Amino acid sequence: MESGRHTFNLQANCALSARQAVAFFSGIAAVSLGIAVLFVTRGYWPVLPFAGAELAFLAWALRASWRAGQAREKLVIDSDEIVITRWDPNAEAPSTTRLPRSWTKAALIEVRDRRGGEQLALGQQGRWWVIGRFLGEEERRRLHQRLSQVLRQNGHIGPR
Amino acid sequence: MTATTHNDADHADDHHDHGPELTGIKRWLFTTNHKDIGTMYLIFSLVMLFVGGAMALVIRTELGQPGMQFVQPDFYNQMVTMHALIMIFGAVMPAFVGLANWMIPLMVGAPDMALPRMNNWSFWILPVAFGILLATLFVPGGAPAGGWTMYPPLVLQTGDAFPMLIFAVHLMGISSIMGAINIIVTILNMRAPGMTLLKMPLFVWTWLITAYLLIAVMPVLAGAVTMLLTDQFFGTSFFRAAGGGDPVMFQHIFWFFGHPEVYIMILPAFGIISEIIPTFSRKPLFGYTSMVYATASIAFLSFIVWAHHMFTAGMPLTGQLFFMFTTMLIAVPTGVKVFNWAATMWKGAMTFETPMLFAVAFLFLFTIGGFSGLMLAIVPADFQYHDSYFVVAHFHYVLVPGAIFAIIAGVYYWLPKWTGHMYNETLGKAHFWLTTIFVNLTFFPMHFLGLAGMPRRIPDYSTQFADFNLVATVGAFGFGLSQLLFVWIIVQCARGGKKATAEVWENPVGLEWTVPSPAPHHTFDEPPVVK
Repeated sequence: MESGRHTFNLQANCALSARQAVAFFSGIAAVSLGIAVLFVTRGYWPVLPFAGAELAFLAWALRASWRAGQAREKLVIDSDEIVITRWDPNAEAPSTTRLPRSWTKAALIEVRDRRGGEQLALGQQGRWWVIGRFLGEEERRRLHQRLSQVLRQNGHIGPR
Repeated sequence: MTATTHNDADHADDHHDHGPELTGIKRWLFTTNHKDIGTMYLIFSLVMLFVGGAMALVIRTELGQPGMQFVQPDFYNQMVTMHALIMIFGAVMPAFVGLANWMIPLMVGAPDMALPRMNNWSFWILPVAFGILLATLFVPGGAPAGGWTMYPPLVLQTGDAFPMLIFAVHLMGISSIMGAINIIVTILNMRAPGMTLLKMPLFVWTWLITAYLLIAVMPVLAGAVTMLLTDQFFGTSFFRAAGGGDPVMFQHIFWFFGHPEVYIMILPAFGIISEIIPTFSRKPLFGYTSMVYATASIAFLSFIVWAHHMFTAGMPLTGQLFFMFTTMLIAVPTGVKVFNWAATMWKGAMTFETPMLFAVAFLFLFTIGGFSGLMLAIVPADFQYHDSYFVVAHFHYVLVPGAIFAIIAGVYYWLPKWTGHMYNETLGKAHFWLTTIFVNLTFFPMHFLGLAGMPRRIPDYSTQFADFNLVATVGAFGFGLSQLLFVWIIVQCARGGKKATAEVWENPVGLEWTVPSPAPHHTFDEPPVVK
C-alpha cells in the first residue's frame, strides 16, 4: 500500500495447476484409450466412441473447473479513483473499470445466484459493479467491511 | 464517472432481486446443493435396497424347501437377475455416491461439488433408469432373466425387455460417469489451501481411485451392451457364433468391466472403515501412506484378474496360471489394509458405538469373503466351486457384510453431522446384533451348500440341501426385517433427539468435524487452511 493507495488482490481457490491437470488427464486418457484400442484391434470397436466421449466430457469438466479457479480481480483505491482490473478466464485480455472514489460506495446486494446469498458490489448513481463473485460468503463479508473502512477515509461515508 | 469497461454493470441491476429459495418438490428437483443431492442418493439407495431385498426374499421363499412352491422357474430367474442389477447399480453404488456427495466437499474444505448442475443431472438420471428397468417386469416376456452378466446367447432370448435393459444400463453408466467426473474434479481442484494429496482423508482417496476405475471401465460396459443390441437388432455378429462372432469374448469384455466394478463397490467401503476405526480407537490411522498405495495397487490389479471369473469357459494353461497368481496377489494389498486396521485398534482406547461395531464386523466378515475369494482363485479348486452356492456365499460376504455394512457404519457415523441429532444408540446396537446374526445365518450355510454341490441359479434342488436352505431363508427374512429398524432409527434421528455437537464423537480428525451439526446448507464460505 502506497500513501493513500490501497490494493486488494482477489483470487479464487484452485488446488490444481494447469500442468497437474494435463498430467492427470494424460494419465487417465492413456489408460482409457489404451483399453479401448486393445478392443478395437480385436474387432470390438464400439468401445472406442464411448471412451472418447467420456474423455471429452472429463476434459471439459477439468477445464471448466480449472478456468473458474483462475478468476482474479485487483482493486486499486487511490485518493481520487478506484480501478477494478479483472482477469476473466473466458476473456482474452483483462478488463478495467474506473470509478470516482468520492461517489462510490461498497455494499452487499441481493443477486440471483446459484448459491444464493449476497454479492459484494461497488456502486455509484444507482449502478453496481459486482466484485469477488468467486469468493465465499464470509470472505465477501470481510472484504465488504475492509472496503467500507477504506472508502470511509477522506470523508467518504459508505456503505449507504 | 469514468467507467471505461462495463463488465457486470449492465447486468447487475437485473440481479437485484435475489430469487426466492425453492421449496417443496422444486427444491429437490432443481437443487444443486451437494447435501441435498447426497440425501437424495441415500434415500434412493435405501428404497432400492428394499426393492432388491424384496426380490431376494422371493428367491429365498422359493428355496425355503425343495420343490416348486411359489413362483415359476422363469420368474425365479427374473428375480435373480433383477435382484443383482438393482442391488449393484441401484443400492450399493448410489449409496457410495450419496456418501461422497455429502462428505467429500466437507472433507476437502470445498463449498460444494465442482459441477453442481451436473450433479443434479447425474442423480435424476437414476430414477429414470430404474423406472425403465423395473417396468420390464410388466412387458411381454417379463424382465431380463439371463443373469446380471447378460451373457449371450442367453440374454438375446429376452423378450421385449431386452432394449429396455440395454437403455437402462446405458443410463446407469451415464449417471455413474457424471458422478465420477464430478468427484474427480472436486477432489483435484477444490481442496482447501494446504490440503495436499497425502493429507486427504482416506475416504476421499478411495473415492478418487474408485472414480478413476469408473472412468476406465464404464466405456467397456457401454460398448459391450451396445454390441449386444446391434447383434440383436442390426444384424452384426460380434458375439453370434453363427455369424463368425465369439460369445466367449463377451465374457472377457464383460468381466474386464465387471471385476474392477467389484472394487468400485468395495474401495469406498475401505475408506469409510479407515475413517471410523481411528475415531473409536482414539488413535491415528496406522500406515496412512501404505493404505493409499494399497488402494492404488488393488485398483491396478483389478484390471488384470478378470478371467478368474471364467476359468471353466476354457483358456490356455498359461492364462489360467497368470489369472490365478494375479488374483492371489490382491491378497497382499488387502492384507496390508486389514493389518493396518488391526494395528490402529491395537492398544487403542476403544469404545464400541454402533459405527465401530459395524466396522469391526466388516473387518471379520469381509475377511471371510476375501478368504473364500482366495479359494476360488485356485484353478483346480474353482473347477469344483464354479457355479455353486460357494460362489454365492463368497460374493455375498464381500458385498453384504462388506460393502453394505460399511455403508451402514458410515450412515451411523455421519448421521449426527447430517441431522444435528444423535441417533438412538440402544436401537443402533440392537440393529447391529440382529443384522450381524441374521447375515451370517443367511450366507454362511451357503458355503456348505456349495461345497456339497448345490448349483446356483436354480429354483429347485435335491432334498439333501433342504436343512441349510431353510436356515438361509429364515436368516434372510430376519435380515430383511432388521433393516426396518434401521429405517426407524434414521427417521427418529432426522425428526429429533439429543443435540449433536460439532465434533459429534471424541476428538475425531477431519474438516467435516469443524463445522456445526447439522452441517449448514452452505459450508466453507471461506476455504479452511490445512496445516
